[in-house]
Amino acid sequence: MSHEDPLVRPDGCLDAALQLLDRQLVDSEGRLAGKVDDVELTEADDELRVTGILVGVPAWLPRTGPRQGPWWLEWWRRLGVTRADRTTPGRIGIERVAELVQEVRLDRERDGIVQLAPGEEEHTGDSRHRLGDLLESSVTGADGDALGHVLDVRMAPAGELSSGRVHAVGLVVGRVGRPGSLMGYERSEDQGPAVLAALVHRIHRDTTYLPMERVARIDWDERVVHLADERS
Amino acid sequence: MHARPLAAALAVLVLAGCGTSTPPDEQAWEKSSAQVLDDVAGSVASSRITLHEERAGHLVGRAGLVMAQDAESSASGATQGYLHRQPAPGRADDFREIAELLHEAGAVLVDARIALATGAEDEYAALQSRLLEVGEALDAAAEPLRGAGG
Amino acid sequence: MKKYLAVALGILTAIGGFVDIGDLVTNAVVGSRFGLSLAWVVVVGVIGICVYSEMSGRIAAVSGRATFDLVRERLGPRVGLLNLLASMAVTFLTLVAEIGGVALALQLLSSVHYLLVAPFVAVLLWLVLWRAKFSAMENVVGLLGLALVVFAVALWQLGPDWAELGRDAVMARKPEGESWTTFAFYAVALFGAAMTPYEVFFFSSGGVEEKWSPEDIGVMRANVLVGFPLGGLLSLAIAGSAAVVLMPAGVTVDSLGQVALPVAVALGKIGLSVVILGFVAATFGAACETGLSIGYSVAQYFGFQWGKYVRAGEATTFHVIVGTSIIAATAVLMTTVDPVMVTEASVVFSALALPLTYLPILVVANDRDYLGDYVNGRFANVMGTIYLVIIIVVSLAAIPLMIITGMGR
Repeated sequence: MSHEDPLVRPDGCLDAALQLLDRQLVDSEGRLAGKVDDVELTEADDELRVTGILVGVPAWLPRTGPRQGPWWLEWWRRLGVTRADRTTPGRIGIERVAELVQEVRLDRERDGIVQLAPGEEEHTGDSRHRLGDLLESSVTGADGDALGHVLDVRMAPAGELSSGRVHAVGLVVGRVGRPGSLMGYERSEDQGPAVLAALVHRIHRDTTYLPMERVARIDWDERVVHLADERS
Repeated sequence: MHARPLAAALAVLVLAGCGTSTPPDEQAWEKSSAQVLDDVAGSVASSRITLHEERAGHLVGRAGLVMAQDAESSASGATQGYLHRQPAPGRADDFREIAELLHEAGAVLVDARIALATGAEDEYAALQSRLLEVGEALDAAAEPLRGAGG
Repeated sequence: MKKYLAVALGILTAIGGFVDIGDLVTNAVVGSRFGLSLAWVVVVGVIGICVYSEMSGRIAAVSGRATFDLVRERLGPRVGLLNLLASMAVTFLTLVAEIGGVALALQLLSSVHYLLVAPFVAVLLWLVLWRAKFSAMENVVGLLGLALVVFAVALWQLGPDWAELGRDAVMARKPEGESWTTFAFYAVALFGAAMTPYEVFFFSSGGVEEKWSPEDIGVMRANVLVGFPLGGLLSLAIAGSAAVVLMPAGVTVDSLGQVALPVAVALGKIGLSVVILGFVAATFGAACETGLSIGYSVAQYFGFQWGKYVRAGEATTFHVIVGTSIIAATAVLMTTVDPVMVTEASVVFSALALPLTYLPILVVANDRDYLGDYVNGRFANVMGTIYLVIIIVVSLAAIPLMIITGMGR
């Protein structure tokens, strides 16, 4: 890979699936408080901003697969049908994040830190989405060509997570799904061992980086990312 | 649906596996005979060493009894498994001979266990030589069957 | 001075911790059937566990991440979940075997049937993990496990023909009566016994909990690179004494008593007492470690509080999982399944499940996001890649060999 390869993550950027999703939450006392089961994204001012961390079974189950996820979630609901909030994930506002290192450090103690995410009906036409949904979306060119799937979402500016200004700057799109896509080999240079790196590079040889400017519209219900005409 | 042919294939396999009374081919039978004779001979040897060590005062507490029990139950397990299987065609007489030998070995193992449980020290020497004898008989019976490879 | 003491203690407990019911039974079975012709597998396995533990220990020290944190972060929630279930199943099988091992060892001493002993062992286990916190007992159990060194003394006392044993070991001379498939099957089993995954979960989780820092890497390496090979030598001594006493008599090991028999032959009453003490300590320690490891893996996947230092009230879910596993494992034992058979199965399944956790560790050990300048060097990567291949081959071979040989019959 050359230095100009846009897949290589520049400084100040954050690959959300690789560096934020599934990380450990730690409270101000160093106690463990769950995982980043999903990330809440909000569309505002033409930007897709990170506004919260979603936790709990209703956030985690849908991420176990595009087909199995909803099925498992339905079973989870049936085990407690009377609860209106059965399928509503818990939410930790992004302003609670003190620091993102190997783990996500929160700025207070864990007891009672998770609150219910606002339900669907309370904000119709609202612009809250889940990173997990975006990661399963397919990408379609302006001429209708299928370009692959979203493997990761690049965010900037990294290190200012709690400010709420961290937003998507681009998508990592590849034809092949999971195996190897989270290992980071396709995006950083000279990560060994050589054999494994070569193998992952070969699997992901079609993987490309698309800046957000090329995205015309994201259809969250159908899970399709539509690209604009290429005006180079 | 892929499920149905898969289920059918599975059912056939399971049913085929259940046909235990199908006579095995000669070579497989010889192999399993040699196997059971070796296994029981191993248990007999184990019991014999246990008796020897008990006499030498090398065993603490009731460890000797536990070891003899283990040897006995391991041998009887192997014997039972073998006797339930159908012998190869035309080898019924050989089968009976082996079965008799296995029973004899089982009886000596039981005697050894009883002696260890009751602490009948004066019987140990005699039992040791009986175990040695039956062990040799088992080895001798296994020898011609081992040619089958394995 | 204190530091040297800590290093020495670490090494000594690593020796005792390396040998568990899987190593005891598998090495004795192999010794009684194959002599020392499979000794090379122990060597390969010990080097493997050194490579694997060194990487995960380094990750724990530098980034504070334990095994199943990495499994989920690198493989995602779906593959991570499958991985978790498979690893838990194998560790659970090992827990069943360890509790059975403690009960069998106590039966050897008291002649009370092991099924009557097992529930009491389970209660004691739960008390130690829930009330006493295992950390207080860990070193005691580890040091008592060193009693198994008596196997080495026994082998020396038996005065075998060392040259002949050495030739068997070096040239891997398979005995006439055994087929190549059973030879291969037991190679897989021995490899699984030496490279049991839970040992690495436990080791790295302990490191995370004790808040190792990069300065502790030296001590960690000393523990791994000295302790585990010495544990491997102990394994070879177990196989060797079985080869000298049991193989010529035609005894194939199928009970724990037979594992101890060569020591009684060589050293008499005292030797037997010491070896049974070693059995109890090693299997009880390993039962604690496997019980905790099941809790660690679930807790690390879902992110809730875990740890051997943490009070039950602070890590409630974790302790409930550990307690439930102990109850379930005892229930499995109570079906009268033969613990020795469970042990043999558990080491084979360990070999089968190894790639699941090894691969994420190898990947992260190369990731500068986690490790900065402490990423694998060239040597670590060469070894890591060689073992990746070995582990995958062994894992693929495990089930076919198990079926072909009918569990090594």
